[in-house]
Amino acid sequence: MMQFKTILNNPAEWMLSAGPLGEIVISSRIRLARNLSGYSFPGWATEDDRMLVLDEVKPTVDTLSEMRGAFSSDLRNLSTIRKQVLVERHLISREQAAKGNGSAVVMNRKQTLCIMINEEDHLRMQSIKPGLNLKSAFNMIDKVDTKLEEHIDYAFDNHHGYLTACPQTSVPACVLPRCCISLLWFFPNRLIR
Amino acid sequence: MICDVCKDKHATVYLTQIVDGQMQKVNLCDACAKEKGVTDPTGFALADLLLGLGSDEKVNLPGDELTCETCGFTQSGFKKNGRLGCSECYQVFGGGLDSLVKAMHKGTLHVGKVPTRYKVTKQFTDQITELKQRLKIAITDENFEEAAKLRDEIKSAEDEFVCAKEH
Repeated sequence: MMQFKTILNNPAEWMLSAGPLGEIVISSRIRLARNLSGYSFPGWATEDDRMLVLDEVKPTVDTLSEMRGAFSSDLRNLSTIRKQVLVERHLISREQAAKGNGSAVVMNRKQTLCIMINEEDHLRMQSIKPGLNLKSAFNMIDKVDTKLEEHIDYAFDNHHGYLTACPQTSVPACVLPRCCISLLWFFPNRLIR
Repeated sequence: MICDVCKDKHATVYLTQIVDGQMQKVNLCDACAKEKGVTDPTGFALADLLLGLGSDEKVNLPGDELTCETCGFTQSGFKKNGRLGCSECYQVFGGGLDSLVKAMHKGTLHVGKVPTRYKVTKQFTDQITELKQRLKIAITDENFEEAAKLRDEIKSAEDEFVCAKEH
């Protein structure tokens, strides 16, 4: 299993190399939100409920082949400064960093794949690729999502799709439901003058 | 910028509200702003607007409030923080959620990926919905021969679905 020191000494893949259109687009990130059926969403759940979800989900996430040799930790075991490092590398959200008991984070060695457990939703999964690389990033996280759904009973209905804690952030009419896309852009001075 | 509510007129009122650290934004045209009663920011909750509730919405008394029986989450809880309590809340607060989603996106019906274990159910409900719509049209047109055929198709599809679920 990867130690935190390894993360510190090894910048994420998207920080090291420039992908397609790397002179403008720094990174492409795809994030999926999923919840387990039969449990309250993390923001409303009791600590006991969150622990139950964590106990059910984390072993499954830890055994993914994509997560071999990954960094895996409960948030309560991370110091504030370590959480800050993960936030600055876009590996966990500020909301996740504020959490303690019942929340966890698992990320692969290249820091291209990261799964937050019990953030706003039970599972927030993200992939980050250098440059404008949305398709590759989506394929990566979609593969993980498909593997997880074999073991985890997702909250889903035919009308609303994947049920998330925040209906406003859902994208039911989009091709990629319950999926957020973000790009980190670099604008040289001459473009914004 | 187009009005988020009517999706037609040009927006002239831009609202940003931060409640408990959560930022919500909505753009309205003059007519929709007046209709929704967006005149007093202090007495106005953006979640109300997004939920389709007007300023004249009846105030629920304690004990009278819509509550999810599964998790105990209440409508006022949703209005306060814009989050739901559990997956069952989608059924309990379903009507209001559709107007919320409609205000933010092009449609309210999920399309795209479906978890493997829900695929059979999704195919069945899509098929039944289509057949029932055709049946309704056939009855309206007094095409009873077609209606009888569709009725049998619905029955057959339902039987097949029950068999598929049992196996």
